[in-house]
Amino acid sequence: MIGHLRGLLDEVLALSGLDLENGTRTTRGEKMRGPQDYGGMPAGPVDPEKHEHVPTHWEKTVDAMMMLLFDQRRRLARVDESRRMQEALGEDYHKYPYYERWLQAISWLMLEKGVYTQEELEAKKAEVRARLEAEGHGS
Amino acid sequence: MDPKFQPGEKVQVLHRDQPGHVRTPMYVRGKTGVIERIVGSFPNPELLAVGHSGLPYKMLYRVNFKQGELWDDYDGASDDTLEIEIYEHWLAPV
Repeated sequence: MIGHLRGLLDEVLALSGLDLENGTRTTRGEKMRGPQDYGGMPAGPVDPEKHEHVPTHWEKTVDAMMMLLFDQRRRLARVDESRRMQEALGEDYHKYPYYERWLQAISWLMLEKGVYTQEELEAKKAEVRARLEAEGHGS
Repeated sequence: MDPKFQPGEKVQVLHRDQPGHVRTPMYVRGKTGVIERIVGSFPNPELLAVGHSGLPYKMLYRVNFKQGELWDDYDGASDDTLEIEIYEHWLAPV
């Protein structure tokens, strides 16, 4: 499925005249077109097969984190800000699965707002990685 | 806040190259459609996206386009349409 999407994306990119080096589209002068705005661009045939996806535990965790960070009481960010961050992924937008994009957006927003620092994030990641490896989940 | 446009009025979507979080897709920019309904006023998502309050509110409209207006090579029925929600500051009277 992912390979199929990759193939489609490559085709879209090839046909679109997108200049990945400069992040601009060269054929139609639409410089500000982001990765979320591909409507109407050439693409392959639509695959009508349904791709149902049962949310995994970590995806639900990401969803819950976002709900808590964005709720009325905390309002540490808004969904529109999350969209801005996801759109800033540029070409990478199409490499990340849905909830990974959310997670990246949340993380960037919390860094932008100074909720935690890059150093604190790195330290936490190292701590979690060490714990998972100790539990035998490390890769 | 009074809506600038009423249902049935012809409008053209502005053709702007604007960076940031913009909810007007490229394929409708510069195209002419008809106001289908007034949706209501909402905080401006372009400002919400950068952490602002989104004020002043912007009027949002459902705009109806002929598919043939949107796509040069459209070969479906001539009365096929598409409806999309567009904020007032992206619309000009025709």
